[in-house]
Amino acid sequence: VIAASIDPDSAVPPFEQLRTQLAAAIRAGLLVHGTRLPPIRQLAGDLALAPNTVARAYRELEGAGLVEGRGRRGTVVTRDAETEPPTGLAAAAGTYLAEAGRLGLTLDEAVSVLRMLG
Amino acid sequence: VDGDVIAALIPTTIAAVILWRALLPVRDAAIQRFVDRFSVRVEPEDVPFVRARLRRSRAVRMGAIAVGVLVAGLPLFMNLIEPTRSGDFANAVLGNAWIAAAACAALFAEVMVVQRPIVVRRAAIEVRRPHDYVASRWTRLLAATGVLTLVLSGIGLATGSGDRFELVASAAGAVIAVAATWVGLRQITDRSRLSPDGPLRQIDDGLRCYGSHHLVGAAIGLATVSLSTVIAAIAGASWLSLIGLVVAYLGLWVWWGVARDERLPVRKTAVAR
Repeated sequence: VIAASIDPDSAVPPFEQLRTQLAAAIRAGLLVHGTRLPPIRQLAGDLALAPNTVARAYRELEGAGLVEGRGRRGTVVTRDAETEPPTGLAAAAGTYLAEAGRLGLTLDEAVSVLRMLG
Repeated sequence: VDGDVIAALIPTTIAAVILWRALLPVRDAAIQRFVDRFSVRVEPEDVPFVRARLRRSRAVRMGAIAVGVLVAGLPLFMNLIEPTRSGDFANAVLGNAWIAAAACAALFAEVMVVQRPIVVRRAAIEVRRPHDYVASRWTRLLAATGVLTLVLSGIGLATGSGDRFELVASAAGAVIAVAATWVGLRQITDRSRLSPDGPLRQIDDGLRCYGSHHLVGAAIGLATVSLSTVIAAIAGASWLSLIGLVVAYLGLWVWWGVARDERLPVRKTAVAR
């Protein structure tokens, strides 16, 4: 699961933070061509943001040609990754997460361990 | 003791027992059933939260059923007050009030949930869909039952067979069942996540599963009882009305199975997957 996070203390507006993270995920191939993005209301609720904020981020992504609004079918990623898909890295990360899960670690805890090592 | 009084005591006693059970605390065994049924992990510090949510949902649903039972018992109460008017309240529509109340309450129990994220400002980029929380075979069964009820009601009205009021009310019951499910499932999937990962995410998914199953189960019950009423109205005194009876019992059996027993493991967290 790819997560987006918003820093309320950042000088960067929330819509821009969201747009940047989604664009980076699409360009890195983490959100592949054809992937549906969450409905605006759903993501806005999860991030405790106003729906307009998420809508604006989606509009900007659409303007950049990364996603396309398809009415009732939602917003879909339309751009392929710009970099080589991180196949090896993704597989290694998957193995790491599986092991962390087996040990009872949450995703946050697993990421904290990575940060400590980095 | 007057037989009418005893008859009136039956729905009163049933409603009182249901209400009493609705207000009982949610025991540890019920939490364990929730954990086992949806394969979720509930940390000790999260037990009060889960207990409160299950209790509120159950109180709303069972409280409504208790009221519905009293409404269904109106002819028996009227026997005590004004016996000549008792027949005015003896119809299949009021008789089905308890199941209609169950479906509406299952919807209300979900709509009244105001859930704010506990882990704030972080969210999984995922699309939640109703069939993540309740098997789509049940929503398809509900839709099919609703359509069949509407078609048969239409045939009954067009041919003038059966009581017009019962046909229209049953068609309305089927529409209410489908609409309540559509609105309720949308509410359940759109509700904010408690946390994008970890045990809270599992609890969140488990509660969505729990609510979806109760909602769809009660809606199937209402739709099938409505279908049964339409069949009985059209068939009249012929043996075909027995089909309506079988349909009603099957529907109530499916309701019980979906709401109480069916297991649907929630989606696993990224770490667990």
